[in-house]
Amino acid sequence: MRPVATRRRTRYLLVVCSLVAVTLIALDAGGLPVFNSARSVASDTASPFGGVVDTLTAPFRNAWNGITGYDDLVAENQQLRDRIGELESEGVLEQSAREQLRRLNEQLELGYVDGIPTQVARVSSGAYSNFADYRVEIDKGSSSGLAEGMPVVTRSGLVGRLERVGSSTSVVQLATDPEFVIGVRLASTQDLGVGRGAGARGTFVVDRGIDLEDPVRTGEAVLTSGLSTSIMPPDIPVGVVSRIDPSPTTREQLLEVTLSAELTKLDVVQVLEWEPPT
Amino acid sequence: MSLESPAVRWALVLTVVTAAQVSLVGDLSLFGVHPDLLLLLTVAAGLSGGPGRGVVVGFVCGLVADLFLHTRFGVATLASTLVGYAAGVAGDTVVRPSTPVWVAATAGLSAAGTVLYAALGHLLGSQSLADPNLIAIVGIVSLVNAALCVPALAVCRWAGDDRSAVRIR
Repeated sequence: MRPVATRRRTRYLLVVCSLVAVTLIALDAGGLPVFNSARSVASDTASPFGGVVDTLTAPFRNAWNGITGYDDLVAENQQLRDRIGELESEGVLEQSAREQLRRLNEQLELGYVDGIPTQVARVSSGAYSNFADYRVEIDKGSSSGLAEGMPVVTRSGLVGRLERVGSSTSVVQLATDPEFVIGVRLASTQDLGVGRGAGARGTFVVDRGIDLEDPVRTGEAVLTSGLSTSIMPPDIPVGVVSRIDPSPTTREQLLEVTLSAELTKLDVVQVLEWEPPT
Repeated sequence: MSLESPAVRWALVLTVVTAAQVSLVGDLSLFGVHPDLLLLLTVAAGLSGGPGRGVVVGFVCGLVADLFLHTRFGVATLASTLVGYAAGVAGDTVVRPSTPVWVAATAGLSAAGTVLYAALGHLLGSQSLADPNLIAIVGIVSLVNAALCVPALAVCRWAGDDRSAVRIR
């Protein structure tokens, strides 16, 4: 048993540390920018170190992922064998390589935004937390001309927006985050609404602005609205309506939208060098 | 700067554990869940050194974790501080320390720490308690931390120079 004075001092320490933590939470909730700066510095510092460790530990990590993801690996191997068989039987390996290169180049050309310069970036890290936090890190930052609020897309459509920008890395808030709120427009009727990320469901929900009388059908394309105060430029594909829930109480329709971009398998993304109006 | 100083040893341990967590362990997932070495260090520090050390190490580990998380800054710090204190109290109440006791205590405290972090995050709007993987996250983090508790306790005793503490008990 520890002496009474020691126990008293420990409780005092606990209270002080807890109060400091609560103060940090309150300051961050108040939007104090120092926390974002600290996190950006931490990411920038860890980034090169992580690259070295990645290289050194690649065999071990590959072995581990091979063991824990054995079923996926078997399925993937089978698919690859099938594909090789197809290619060999057709004798078109060279043609195929050219075709794949053409498609890769095509992937880098966005068909839906004109005149906005883009930066190609790689997703360098997923979430550090085990809990879904709807954020990924990319390997470009302010030194490449990126700034907070810039939209992040793939050829398929909207991915999210830059939430925090360090000098060499940035954090992307994904479109599935419940705090990601944007104005949207239905392609066929041009009806305007407001949507947000649906969180763990991995989809996007338009929950305001679509009246009960507005004609909507599943499969309808949803785009960014691009209104003058919008945080996104117009006409970026968000996804397609996969479910419609009429709400008699609010006299509106709640639309569940399957995102066009596959957010769970992000590798290369493009950042539109477009800043929202202030 | 010498390894004779406990402060230097703790700084070294914290740096190595943070580097491992950020650059290596994050990629070693089991069913999509990766180990939480900073939580393990907090629990081991509390169990081996008592509530005072648990609070200090937990506070620092939480601060470091908050730098790499995207939730509200301070949530991991608060959760980790409380878990460090609880681990210290638990360590003090163990009359006959043995490996199974440390393993069970580490598993229980790791589970409690993970749920506490999720609960605090949920209170602040992050929906962590509603995460469909919550049970898997709690289970896997607890199991991995329990499996690593013996070397973690040894490292904490080395860092804290615990020969005197062991004598007091």
